[in-house]
Amino acid sequence: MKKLKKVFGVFAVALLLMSMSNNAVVIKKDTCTLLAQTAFNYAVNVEDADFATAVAYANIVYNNCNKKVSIVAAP
Amino acid sequence: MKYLVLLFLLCSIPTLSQNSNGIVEYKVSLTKKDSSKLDNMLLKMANNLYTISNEFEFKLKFDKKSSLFLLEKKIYSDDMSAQLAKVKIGYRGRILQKHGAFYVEENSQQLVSKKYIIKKDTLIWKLTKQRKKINNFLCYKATSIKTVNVGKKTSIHNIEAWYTPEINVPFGPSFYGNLPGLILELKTKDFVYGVKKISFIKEKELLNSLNLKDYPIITESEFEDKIRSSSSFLFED
Repeated sequence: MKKLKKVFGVFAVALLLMSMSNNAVVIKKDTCTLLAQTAFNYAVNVEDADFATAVAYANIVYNNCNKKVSIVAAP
Repeated sequence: MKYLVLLFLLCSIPTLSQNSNGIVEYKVSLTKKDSSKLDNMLLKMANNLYTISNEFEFKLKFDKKSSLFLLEKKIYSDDMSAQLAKVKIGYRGRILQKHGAFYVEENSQQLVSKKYIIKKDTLIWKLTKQRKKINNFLCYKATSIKTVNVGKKTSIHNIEAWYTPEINVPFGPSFYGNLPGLILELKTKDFVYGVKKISFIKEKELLNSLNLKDYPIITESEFEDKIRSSSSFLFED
């Protein structure tokens, strides 16, 4: 019975850790979208960039951020 | 006297024909904006944003009828800085100028996955008498304005070009041209193109040209619609 409890305990902790790391990735992915949107808004509203240029900045910011997230999320 | 005039004409013919085929090498420098929120954000990703442009090798190949502006392909010391600097300069692919129109090859794939050729509107220039010498060529200043509309926001950008009637071709760097001479210097709020070297050559078929039949030709506003649908995540709440 003790062994079973131990196995369940380890399993629960593993599940918790997995869900925490998943949440972290989800939060960071949202952060990437927010960062990209911020870059787009700065480009249009502060730098007076044209639409294609502003989207190009945003996409680079988004991809760069996502690369970092996937490095963090990698096992 | 007759012979002298004839001799002068004979001597000037090769010079004139030489001037209609050539390669211009341009350097570009980005304008530093210390207080820019966008630049401060980009500098965190790309330390060499302002200096990487020293590694860019822009070329304008021209003959009598058309020109092709391109960035030589190479490996940069800082790829992220190079990517962002290209966006700042507005370079996303080769640019063909033909019959007064500009055709831009959209192949960066940062915006849409398919390749297109965008037909760009030309600027209307105001010619001035202001002049200066660039690389021993007498240049005149021309100014223009570019209107940028994004959603409800409209902004106006000043463009300044220095062209030389001594090289009588209507071409220049990027999608700037249609002046009574080659543009040797071009200034916008974000960057300055300056001439590095001009070589005149005799070959007729100079341009490894952009084939306008390779990809669909669309207008700037059609292209914007395509970007909008491929980058919809940017416009969600």
